Amino acid sequence: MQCKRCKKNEAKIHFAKIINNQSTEYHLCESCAKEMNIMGANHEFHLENLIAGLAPDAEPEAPAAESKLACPVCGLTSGGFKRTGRLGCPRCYETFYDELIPLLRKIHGSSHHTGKVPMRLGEGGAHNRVREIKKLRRDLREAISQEEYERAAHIRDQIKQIESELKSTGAVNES
Amino acid sequence: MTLPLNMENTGPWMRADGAPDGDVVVSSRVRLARNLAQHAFPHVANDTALRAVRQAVSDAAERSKMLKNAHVIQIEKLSDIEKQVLVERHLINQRLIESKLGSVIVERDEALSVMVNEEDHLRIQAMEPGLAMIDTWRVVDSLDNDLEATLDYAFRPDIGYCTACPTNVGTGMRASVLVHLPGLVETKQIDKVLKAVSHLGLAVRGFYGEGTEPMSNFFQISNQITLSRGEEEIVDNIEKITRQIASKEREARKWMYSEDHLHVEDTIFRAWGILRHARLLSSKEAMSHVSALRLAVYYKLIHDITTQMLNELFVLIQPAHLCVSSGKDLQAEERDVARAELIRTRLRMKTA
Repeated sequence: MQCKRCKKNEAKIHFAKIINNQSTEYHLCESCAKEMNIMGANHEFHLENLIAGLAPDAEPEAPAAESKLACPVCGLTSGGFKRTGRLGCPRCYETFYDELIPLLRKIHGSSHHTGKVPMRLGEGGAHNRVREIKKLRRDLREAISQEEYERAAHIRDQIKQIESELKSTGAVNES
Repeated sequence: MTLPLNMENTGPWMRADGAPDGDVVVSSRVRLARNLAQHAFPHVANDTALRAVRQAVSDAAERSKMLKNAHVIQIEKLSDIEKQVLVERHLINQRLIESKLGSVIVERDEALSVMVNEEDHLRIQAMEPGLAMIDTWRVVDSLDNDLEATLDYAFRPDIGYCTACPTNVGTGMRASVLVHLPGLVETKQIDKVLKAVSHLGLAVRGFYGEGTEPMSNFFQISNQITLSRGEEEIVDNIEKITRQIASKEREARKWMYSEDHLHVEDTIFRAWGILRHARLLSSKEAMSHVSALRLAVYYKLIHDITTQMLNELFVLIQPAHLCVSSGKDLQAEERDVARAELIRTRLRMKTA
């Protein structure tokens, strides 16, 4: 396949950006990828450079307004974040929340975490159990559709057990 | 400082027998990005903070049963060649070398490791031979739980684990497989397959040996999205897609052989001849012949070699490994001599 940018070399880097089911494909040769600055010294994708392109453009007419927002912990400014595509500290997620949410939607298609939760966050254990139930329900549907009823019955029992454990610990079942 | 690693061999995890789908999939890897709540991310943090992070992670590692035989290696104490050895073994990356106060904690079998003060405070990594995404995730998940018992991670219920770069936020997880696809490359189906894979939200890139030339038959496939999907869903997705690619690859290999077995055998036995007799082997030439020998194992044409042996060769013939085993800094041509010699010796050894 040819590089879609220079149309000369063979494309070696392939990726698709999917935003709300609209996908844009990139097929690039190495030198074009380098020019676009998405590959680092170690040939690792430097996604933050792509993000710099995705982030809403810094408005050059109003530099004063932009510089007002700065992280109280690490001092990163809104402009600094847009330039580097990286945050300075965990607190930045709160400081730049309003800018981050649309950006996360662009990168990941959504801005809501559905994965693992640290156990140490009091409710963490319950969160993870709820996640387990969701997974088991998926497995259950799969088992039924494949007519594996014995396995389905086993999965159903597992779900029941976790649900009763959650009830006894007073955790909310968010299904 | 001498590296506490066995330089005669690669990490023991690579040498295990019976890797699932090992004819196509070289290895599975899952990496988790984590940060400590009370410190700035490494690219912003000052030396005092970086030292504090390093100490806290070392202490947490010491309490983890899974890391009870681990070594803590401080990057700034290593020579340039030793740093490269760790890169060649996939234990660290260039970015950690460039970081000021980085370290890597390596469990004895090298399957488990933690990079400290890379882009994020912790990058927890597990590797397994062959296609074993789900197992690899389970291992790294338990190690994460172990470390979390001591460390206070930066986490928000709405967007998950906070990372320096918003591309990693959420699960903080990057899962990948390294695949060998000579059949799909040879039958010119590779672009189609890679395009399909990139449509499914996965990133594919060539795998690099020495220099910048990609080794055409090796590819790394990884998840692009880290937020809004659960970890199991992500690894399960990669495993299923990889399994499909593997079956396409096998079809292509079978077709190649039935179509023109003489040509296939000729390529393989030429590679066998060259590797067992050559006196000078560049990295690129060696890799392409070793790639051919992986096919020899698949077609059962040469019985003295195994896929594990070849996977190991890929690591051992890289420049920094050659320098360390010969005990000195070798120039390019000296490396080609050492590489040819190492391969000749290894390929004469019968498997047990």
